[in-house]
Amino acid sequence: MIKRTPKVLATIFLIIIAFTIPLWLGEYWTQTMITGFTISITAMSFILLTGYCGIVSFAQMSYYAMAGYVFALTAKDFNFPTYISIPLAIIGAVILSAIFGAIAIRSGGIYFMMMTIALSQLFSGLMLDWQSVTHGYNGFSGVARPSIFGFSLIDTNPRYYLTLVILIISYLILKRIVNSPFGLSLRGLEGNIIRMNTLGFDTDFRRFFAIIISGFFAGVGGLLGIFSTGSVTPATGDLSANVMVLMAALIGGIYHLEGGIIGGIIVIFLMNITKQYTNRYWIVIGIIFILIMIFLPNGILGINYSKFKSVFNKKK
Amino acid sequence: MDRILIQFLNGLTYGGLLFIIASGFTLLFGVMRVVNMAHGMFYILGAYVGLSVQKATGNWLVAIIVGSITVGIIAFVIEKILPFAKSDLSQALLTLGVSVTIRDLCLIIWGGLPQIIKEPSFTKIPIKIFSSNYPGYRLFVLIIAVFIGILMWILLKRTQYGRVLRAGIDNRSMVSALGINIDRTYTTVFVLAGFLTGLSGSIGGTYISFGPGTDFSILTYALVVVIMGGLGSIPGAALGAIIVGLIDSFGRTYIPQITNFLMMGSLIIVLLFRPRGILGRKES
Repeated sequence: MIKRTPKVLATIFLIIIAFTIPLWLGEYWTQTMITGFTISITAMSFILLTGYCGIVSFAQMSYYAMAGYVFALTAKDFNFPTYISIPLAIIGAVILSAIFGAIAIRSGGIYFMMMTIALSQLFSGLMLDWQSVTHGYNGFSGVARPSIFGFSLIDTNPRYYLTLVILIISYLILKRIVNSPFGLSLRGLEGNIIRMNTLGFDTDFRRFFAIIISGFFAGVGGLLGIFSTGSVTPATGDLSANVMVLMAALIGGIYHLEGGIIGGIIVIFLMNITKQYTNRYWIVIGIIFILIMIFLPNGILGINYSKFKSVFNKKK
Repeated sequence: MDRILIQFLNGLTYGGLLFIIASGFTLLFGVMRVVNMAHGMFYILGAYVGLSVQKATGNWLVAIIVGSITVGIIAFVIEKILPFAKSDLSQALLTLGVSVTIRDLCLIIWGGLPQIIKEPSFTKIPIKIFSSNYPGYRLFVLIIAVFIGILMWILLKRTQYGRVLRAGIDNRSMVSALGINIDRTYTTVFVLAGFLTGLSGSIGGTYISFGPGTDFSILTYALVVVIMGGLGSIPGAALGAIIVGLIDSFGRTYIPQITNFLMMGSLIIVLLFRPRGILGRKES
């Protein structure tokens, strides 16, 4: 309990800071933070699969985009009320993840990864080609921000707090799942599928269920995303977007949910700042990517802090 | 009836190009278990270099050759830095990082507008098929694809080298244990795959316009082809290529808006019955 206190204090401190951000960060950067949070949620869904199940999914942003498209379609084109559009959007994301998941559970790790790449690109292409429904290249834009429980989401600040709160709740739920008996059995899937099967665990079902959960949270991220930007395009869920989520998870650390939170914020801010100096931000990202793969494979959370501790001890 | 036949030919010839693209990918995965995310980048690099060489020399053949060799060299470099990545995932990610970086470099050098390489004069002969003139170049691509397919078949089935590769697909450690220089073999395979893909880029870039986004779409189609056909299988790549080519051709003609949906559906159907692809095999 005493050892945990610094961590708990630090977390509370961070949460307090997070709640005060709109006060000292201008509107533009607060908006950036909101986008960062949506990517954080999606990155956590990615980490659930990668870090805890050993499944690499390049389709998380497809679920994100699906939620955005369903919301935009039902709210803007079909004029459904908000309290129907929102659940429909999440359901859309979950259904897509169920489809991708059903195909993929029959295959092992790397096949799954390749399939998610192909499927997400095909899905993005579908959003592009199916112009009569999805408005093609331009997608949906100017989707009105809804009012939730009477609170209008048109201004940045209410949206910021909503996204922050949902981020925290998502993290808590995912943390509970990961530490539950179900979650622990998922970790067994990573290396010991045969052993797990022998022990009587239905590995296919558990993986499928994990994929659906990840689809749910990616959908939540996507819903908050479309509230935040008001637009969704075929590019929202394509391979580049999925690479971005991957980057977020890698930077933060793929073995911990917290890495998703850190990574998401860092990636969005990084892209934003780089864009202001050069149009060639993909080169910067690509190089950072390569450097991380070589030097920091476990991300920021994976840095071996004990090395630093020993330095301090020596000085005594 | 005519129209259907033309579409069939279109699908078949597109399948020919897809086969060349996919064979490089399946070779790399089958032999070395490397998921080369830079595969699409190899394609457009071959196309872009071919474009510049053709603009400089006016000779299509030289452009093709230089394009292919350039990509072969890049593949060699990548193979050398690959050992830094320790697992399947990190290899895919490393190649992804390289791909994204070089892709942006291409954007700087060649700009963002779609480009196309000029057809060589010797293929500008329209071939009469029934009542229409069919572009000679497409048939030329099909002929090259068949030729490459036969060459690969000979290489894999009839040479000692091919036997080593096939053995490597089935059981890498055993091959290594038998004292065969696996490292040099792997490097050669990588360069060969790069050369093939660069070739496909220059050839494909002559009748299909290409641009910055092409690498991802090529990667996608290569993946679909090999997943459907079976990873590590060259005949599988051929079969997958024909199927995808035909679906793409007929789909875009009759139901263009949901062709991707059709493609996804076909992939799902194939995988339901054959989870490893039609001609895929379980590795030991």
